[in-house]
Amino acid sequence: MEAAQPGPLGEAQTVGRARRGLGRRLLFPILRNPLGLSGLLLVLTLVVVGSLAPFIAPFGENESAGVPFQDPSWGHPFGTDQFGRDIMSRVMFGARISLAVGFLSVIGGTLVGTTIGMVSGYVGGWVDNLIQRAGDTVMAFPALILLLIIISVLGPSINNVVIVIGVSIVPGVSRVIRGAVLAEKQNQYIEAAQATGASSVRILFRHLAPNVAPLAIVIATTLLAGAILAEAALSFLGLGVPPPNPSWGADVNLARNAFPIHIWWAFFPGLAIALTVLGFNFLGDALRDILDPRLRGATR
Amino acid sequence: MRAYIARRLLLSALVLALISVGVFWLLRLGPGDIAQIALGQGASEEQVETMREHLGLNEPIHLQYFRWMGQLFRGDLGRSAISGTPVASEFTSRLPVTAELLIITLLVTVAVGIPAGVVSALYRNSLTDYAVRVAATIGLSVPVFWVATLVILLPNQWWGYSPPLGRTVGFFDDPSGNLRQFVPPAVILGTAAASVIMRLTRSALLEVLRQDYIRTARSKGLRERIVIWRHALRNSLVPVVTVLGLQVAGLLGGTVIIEQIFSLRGLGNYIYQSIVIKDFAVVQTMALYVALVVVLMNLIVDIAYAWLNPRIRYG
Repeated sequence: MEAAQPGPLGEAQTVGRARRGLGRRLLFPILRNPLGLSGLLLVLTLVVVGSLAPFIAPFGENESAGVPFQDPSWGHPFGTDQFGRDIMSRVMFGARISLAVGFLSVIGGTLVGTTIGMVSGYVGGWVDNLIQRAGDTVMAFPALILLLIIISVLGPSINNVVIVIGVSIVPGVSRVIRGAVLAEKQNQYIEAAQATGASSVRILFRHLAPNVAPLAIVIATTLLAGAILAEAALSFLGLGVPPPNPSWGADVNLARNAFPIHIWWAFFPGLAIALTVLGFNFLGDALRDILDPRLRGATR
Repeated sequence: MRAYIARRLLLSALVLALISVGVFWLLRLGPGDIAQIALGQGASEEQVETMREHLGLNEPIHLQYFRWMGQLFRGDLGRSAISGTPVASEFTSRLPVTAELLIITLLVTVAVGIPAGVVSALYRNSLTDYAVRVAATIGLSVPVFWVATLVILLPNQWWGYSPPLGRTVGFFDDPSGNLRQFVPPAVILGTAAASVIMRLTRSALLEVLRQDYIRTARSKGLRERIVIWRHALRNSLVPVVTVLGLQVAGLLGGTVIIEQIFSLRGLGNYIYQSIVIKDFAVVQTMALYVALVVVLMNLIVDIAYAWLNPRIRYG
């Protein structure tokens, strides 16, 4: 019971146990939380559909599957688009793009942000000050406009979208991790490690890293929803994943400008985005409530 | 307090300076020649060279930067390298559109977010609370551009109705026409912000209701309504006001999308169009403007926070 209800700084103090029981401590409470469970189910469905898309989708993502602008029917449950492509198949393949961009950018950004945050918090002094002011600068700028500017300079491509979204989450992650490290630094085991002559690098990666890892995982989960929304918005604005890739955001944009109006073409890819982001939000909220009240406000 | 404000001002100036350098450098990082982009594909080598000379692109990058800064400090916002239109004239004609959009959006955010948060906190763990919280999570999850697209497309498909697009109607010329143009995008844009405010109001109010002075107020025999409205809500709104200020940055980003979809000729639309055609002279100035708004909002929020809550240290 004790493990299920950690105090505000529970992670910081339960050194070995936090690592061992992390999976069990997270999974059971999520299954008991109705919203967390529905989030988990939504995300799992998405992962399954995305990874099996080439086998279960009735048509290829760019295959001309029938007459353009068909309404939903048995043959095409979501209808067909302007080019006669099967909208359901494109939505299924689109899951791969959303997930790939979401996971890659968040994992990359969290790793970099965690490292920077640990160094910033542990080293302190002018290094800390410099890093945090640089973070303030990036965070002072509306993320979407920054993303648009960078993509327009680099050129739209899946790789660039991943890099840019990853970079944009670094300052937020590093700030929260820095705070955690400042608290963690006070513990005696750090002092003990210093006394045995361990190098800073060793203390950072052998001693501090395992203790901020649970926090980093929770932050990453809460950031996934935002990253997926960002990809969709960039692609919608034509500065994200370029066509003919089956990006959901890009397809909503194509549908918006198509004539005659074919509402299903705009409806289904957008619904897929909404459900995906909802799933990750439910999951992230549940995880955050279970693990760490410190995180309030870490994500916008 | 005065020292605190001075420090904050200095820090804000530093952040702005860093952003101006960052954006300026960023825009010159990419492949492609600004002069070439401005002239289009058909331009001859000679024309491009003249253009480079004209735009000052042959100078070292730090000189270019200082020339830009010098212009800005003399009040010259520069002009588009592609169309030649001065940024200042576009800016003044578009500012009212974005300002009205943001004001209505903030009103919607507050009018929906705060009452919903209060209700949710007062009836904690009831069905109402769950419904409000789920609604807030949905509000955070649904993409703005999708809802906006459906709001434009659906009435068109069903009744052949499309909202007044293109030219913006002045509020004082035709209030109802103006509101018909601004309220739908503002409501859509404000949904996510309202959800954030709702969640925050709920948690802040719950936090305050646990405090000793609330128990004291209740044990004095004050009516519950007075305890909530006069004692609890006031204190719990301190963090809400701060976050509301911080939301402005996100909303500014949102105007880029929403103005595009509703064909409002505001600043968001201007920024987006300039980014798409790579009109970097406009992009760098507008980016600095956006940063200025955000930094000012943060400054106001920080000062308001220190003023509202004397317990925090001005350090």
